[in-house]
Amino acid sequence: MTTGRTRPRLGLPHLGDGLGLRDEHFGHLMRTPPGQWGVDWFEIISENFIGHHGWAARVLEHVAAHRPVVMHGVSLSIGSTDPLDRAYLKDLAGLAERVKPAWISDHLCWTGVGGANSHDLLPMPLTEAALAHVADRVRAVQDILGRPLVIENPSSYLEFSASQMPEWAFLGRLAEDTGCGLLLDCNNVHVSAFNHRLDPVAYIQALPADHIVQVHLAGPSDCGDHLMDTHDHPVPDAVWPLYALAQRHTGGVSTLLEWDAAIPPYDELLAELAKARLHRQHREAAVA
Amino acid sequence: MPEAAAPDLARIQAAFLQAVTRPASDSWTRAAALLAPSPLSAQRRLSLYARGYRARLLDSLRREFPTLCALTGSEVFDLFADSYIAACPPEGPSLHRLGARFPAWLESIQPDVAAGAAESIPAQLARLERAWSEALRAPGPEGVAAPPVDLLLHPAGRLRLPATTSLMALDFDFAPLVAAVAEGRAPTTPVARPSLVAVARSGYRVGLHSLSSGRHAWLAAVGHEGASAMEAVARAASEADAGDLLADLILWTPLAVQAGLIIAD
Repeated sequence: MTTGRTRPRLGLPHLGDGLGLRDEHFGHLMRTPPGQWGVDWFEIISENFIGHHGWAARVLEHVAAHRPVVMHGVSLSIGSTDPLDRAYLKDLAGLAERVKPAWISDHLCWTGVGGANSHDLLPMPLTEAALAHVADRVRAVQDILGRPLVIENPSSYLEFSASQMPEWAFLGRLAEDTGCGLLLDCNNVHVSAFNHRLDPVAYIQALPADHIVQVHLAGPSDCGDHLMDTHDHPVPDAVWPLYALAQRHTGGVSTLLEWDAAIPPYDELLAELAKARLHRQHREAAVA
Repeated sequence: MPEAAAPDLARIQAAFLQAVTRPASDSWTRAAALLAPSPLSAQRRLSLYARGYRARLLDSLRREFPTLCALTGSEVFDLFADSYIAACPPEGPSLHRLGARFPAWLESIQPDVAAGAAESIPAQLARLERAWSEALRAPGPEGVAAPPVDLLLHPAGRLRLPATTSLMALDFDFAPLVAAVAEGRAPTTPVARPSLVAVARSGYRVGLHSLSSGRHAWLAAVGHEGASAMEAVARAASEADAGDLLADLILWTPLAVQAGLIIAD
């Protein structure tokens, strides 16, 4: 399905084009022969399946038997000053044992401190001390999970005055220091660049291409004076050139379309994902 | 900014989380002082996170307690939920845990009233809906060997309730209300009536089952730890005539197995 696959990065494969596995499509996937699913792979939200032994677990078992699965988390809280949540990591490792994911990812963020949890991806102060702190924790998590962790750039709505470097520099140094992978969310680059008046092209070009193993696509909400990362719209026109740039920058990596609210029928998701292929082919034609 | 003058990560995170989860003028002032300049005001930027926090938790509770939300209306439900979140803020990585203490919290704020008083509806309905939510996720009867149909004729055979089965004694008949909301109809006011029920899962579908006192007592005697079917009959017999109970159970246990209420131990 996907052309121009590149060599593995960090030993991780190029999976092709995938979709987020969401409840709304469980029935369709269980009724439809896997050969007609129309995607190369699926990404799950890890927390939706940890401790779940019901229908969702049954669907995941079926899906994982027929397609590669990636575990994408929202609760690792890699930037928090709380100790690493060992119980969560144990659960994560247990889920990985069941699912055999191609890789495990989470976000450059923190979700809480002092035992409290915001269930949000809160922004990091981008300081030298924070970088050293996050790098230590990434290394610890990689040791526990026995695999490279993949870290995603988040959407953000504010920056801290204490920050000492741009986000792309923080991520790039983190990747090169720890050997972790990067999940480049083109929508998040678009959202944060709009909110903070940054240059999204410079952001992507500054990331170390050899560490990028996956790209996210999604649609934000335009709130006038800011963009909100809602994953409830088609991918906006402004994101597609960033996606093409990301594919050019990396030479081609796995693509995943996220859609988490106002989720359309499965066929509409496939149609949206197909646009990625068109943009990629356009890029390849331009290069040729 | 010199390193020595920079607020450390822990202080930034504590101040910011306070502003997001407990928005108040003093916490926002402290957090605003940490932010870099932006075309958007500090208050506006902090409010995006504070509103997102509230919206996410409210949405989680509305999804877990849809019948209570439909019965009270979303405005009243949100008042309950906001107050609960302030009293019992989320801990740990699972949003599923957020609603775990909601029924007990509702009970703690209800006035001291007689059984069957309308004031006790929210706590009892929330208890039912939490059991439903847990039944959707817990290890269930699927894939577990079913007990034999004539299990009561096998004195040594042991049974247990799967983790997906919850027994409850309620002061209201919530079944018509639950059905109405599930089918998208207008909620009906639950009738005050002592009601013994079980929430159970079968084929990954969760259902609400009305029980006689004898069947309820027998299932309670079987328990999640397990027991032999006949031992459970003996223990439950105080709730009903042993002979009548046994006769009833012989006919009913195949249906109980089919409903996922019991599995082989």
